[in-house]
Amino acid sequence: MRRRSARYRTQDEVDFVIVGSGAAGGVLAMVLAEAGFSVVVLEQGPYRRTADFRHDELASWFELEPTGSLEEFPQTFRRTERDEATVPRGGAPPALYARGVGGTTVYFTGNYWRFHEVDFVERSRLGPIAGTGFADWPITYQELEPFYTKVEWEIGVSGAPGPFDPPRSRPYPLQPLPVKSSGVLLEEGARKLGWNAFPAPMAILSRPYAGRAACIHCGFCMMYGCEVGAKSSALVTTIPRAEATDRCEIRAESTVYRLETNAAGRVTRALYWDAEGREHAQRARAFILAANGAETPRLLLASASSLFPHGLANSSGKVGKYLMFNGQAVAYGLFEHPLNEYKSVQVTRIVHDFYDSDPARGFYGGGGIDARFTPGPILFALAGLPPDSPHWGAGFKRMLAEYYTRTVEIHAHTTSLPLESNNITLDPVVKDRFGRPAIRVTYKDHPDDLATMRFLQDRAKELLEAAGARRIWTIPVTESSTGAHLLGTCRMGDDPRESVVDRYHRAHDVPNLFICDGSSFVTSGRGQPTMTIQALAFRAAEHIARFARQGEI
Amino acid sequence: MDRPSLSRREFASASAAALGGAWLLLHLPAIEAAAARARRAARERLGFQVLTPAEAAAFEALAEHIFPTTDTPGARALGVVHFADRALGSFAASMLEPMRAGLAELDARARSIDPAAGSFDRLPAQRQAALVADIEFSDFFFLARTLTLMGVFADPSYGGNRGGTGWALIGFEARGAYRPPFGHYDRGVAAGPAEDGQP
Repeated sequence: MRRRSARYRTQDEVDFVIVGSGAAGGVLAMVLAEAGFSVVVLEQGPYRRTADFRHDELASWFELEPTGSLEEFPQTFRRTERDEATVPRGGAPPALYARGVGGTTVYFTGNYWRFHEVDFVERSRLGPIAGTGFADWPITYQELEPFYTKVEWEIGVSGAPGPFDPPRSRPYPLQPLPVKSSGVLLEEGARKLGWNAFPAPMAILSRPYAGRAACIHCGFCMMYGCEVGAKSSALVTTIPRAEATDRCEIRAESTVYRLETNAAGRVTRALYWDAEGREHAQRARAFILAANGAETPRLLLASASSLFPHGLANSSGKVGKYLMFNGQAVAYGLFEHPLNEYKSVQVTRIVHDFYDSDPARGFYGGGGIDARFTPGPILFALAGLPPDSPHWGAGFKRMLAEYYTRTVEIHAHTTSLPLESNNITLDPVVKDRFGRPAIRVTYKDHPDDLATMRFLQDRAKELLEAAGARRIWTIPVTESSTGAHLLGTCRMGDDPRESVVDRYHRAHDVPNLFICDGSSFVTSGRGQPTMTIQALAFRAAEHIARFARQGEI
Repeated sequence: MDRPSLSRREFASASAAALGGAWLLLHLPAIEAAAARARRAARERLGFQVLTPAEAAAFEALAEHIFPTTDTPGARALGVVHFADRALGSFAASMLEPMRAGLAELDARARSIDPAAGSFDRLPAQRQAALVADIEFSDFFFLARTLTLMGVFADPSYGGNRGGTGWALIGFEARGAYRPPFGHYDRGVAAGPAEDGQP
């Protein structure tokens, strides 16, 4: 039976309102509620349960059930600030994120790489890059390490250390998931090339853990909720623990549209719409934004007032700026025998030999490589064959039967430089169903980002060759038009003129406002940000609890 | 239809995500309702929801060229036209008019080739194939192909993919849970390191 969690009235001044129930919001809610504070989490999406999840490719990938459609939730996109932004036709939402309790963690693949030490101090190591906001983080890997370990043990991460891993204070709590054929071939290719493939750290249980079942290898991870709860999403880890305290209320279908401030410059209430569009206002001592790198800056910009004319917490002008998607490049390979990559988790082995930037390459950037296979049968039939294949008829049908079980994708996940010209703003024309401005995404990859993608795509092809692929093909690297990693839009830093939050995630401008999600990132890392989002959230939660106990919120 | 024509390369290489988005534009609430109707229709053997018998015949003939019967079942045997009918009557309703126009055009072209045949589905198979080859990069063909392949590979509750046969044809076992080894290359590989968390 589901226990009934705490309920608060909107006029009650709770200790914390948290906006967003995903990777960061779940951690913050759990830690603060377990520390004895009263917490209301406002989540715009529905409260779906494990029993609601199905293996329905049409609903997940084509109806976009996890994210909602652009018609329901319009966004606009433009390449540069000189262009006019439009609602994309024939594309996914530019800022891609799930709506619902647990956020995007419910539907993600679960790659849980830690950042390396270099990610936090890369600007010092490499020097400035003209025209970019390339900067060091105000915290180091050493400061964050205990919280990476906390993530692994609190939510359940399966893995084993790799040769390039940063130091860790404790082993993984769970052994790696069983290697798939793609992982075996990646190991073989890497070995021949003198590189290193090692077990992918995954937020999916290889064995039963903390009362949850182990993975049954159904293969429906990306864009699907896990029907056995083996995927370590916020929905089955942090959120239930927050509710179990009886001090945390998860209020689903509550869309926050404005943070109200008083003359002293403090936030007093979070204004939101419920499922029927009725207005409510929840009072709290302090407010935490964990709504993701697109929704968080949107809410701040929409909360402008006479005291904060350019948006709340935006005296620096950096709210919404420095959006980073991470780059991606793919090479495809066909093998002699069936791999059946549609089975089990998406990724089992990764390669980090090209993680660090190397000035000898002539451009900034680095990344990680994995072997995987994403498409269900519909997507594969529509777009999975090599570009010069027949697309109808007996030959097409024969190729589908041969290629579906024998194809593997080698993906490269890469750095994105922080650019002020890549950003989230409020669209001046397009409105959503509530009548508020749509999210406007402006994004153009830096030339070094594209060079990094091409460089790693070439390495991916070499891996396929070395692993003995019968046939290899690629799709040319192009500029990004959509991103599921929404990073950098309220960056942390010590200088209030150059950043939005301080090293403890407190807004420089607003004493009782904290911001912790992908927006806090200073640099992009190498493509798997959720682990770091959650480590930041554990660290932020400890500091925020300390401030609250000391009367400093 | 607003979608611009695609070159052969673009057509085949459009990314999975972009195609997902393209389909999104077809406007899709009511998936559940469609599935329920499809299940009921399959049970009660109802007629078509939105397609006329002539349109259904033309679509089914076209779908059979896209995913033909060979030594294994094709679009006709998999019930693809029933999937398409339900889709065009619900979550893909905005594509019904473009589909109607395309099918009418197809029949018109068939008549101009062979007035005696009267419609596309009654042309000899070779002439049908030649006509399909003429339109294989058109917007209409893109739509028909998308619906056909969805009808072959979507969950059988939507009306196509009868008995999961579409999945079986490409080796997708659809068992919902598996155990290692998963494929040829991971046979005989140990499940993991001996001790948790240690390399």
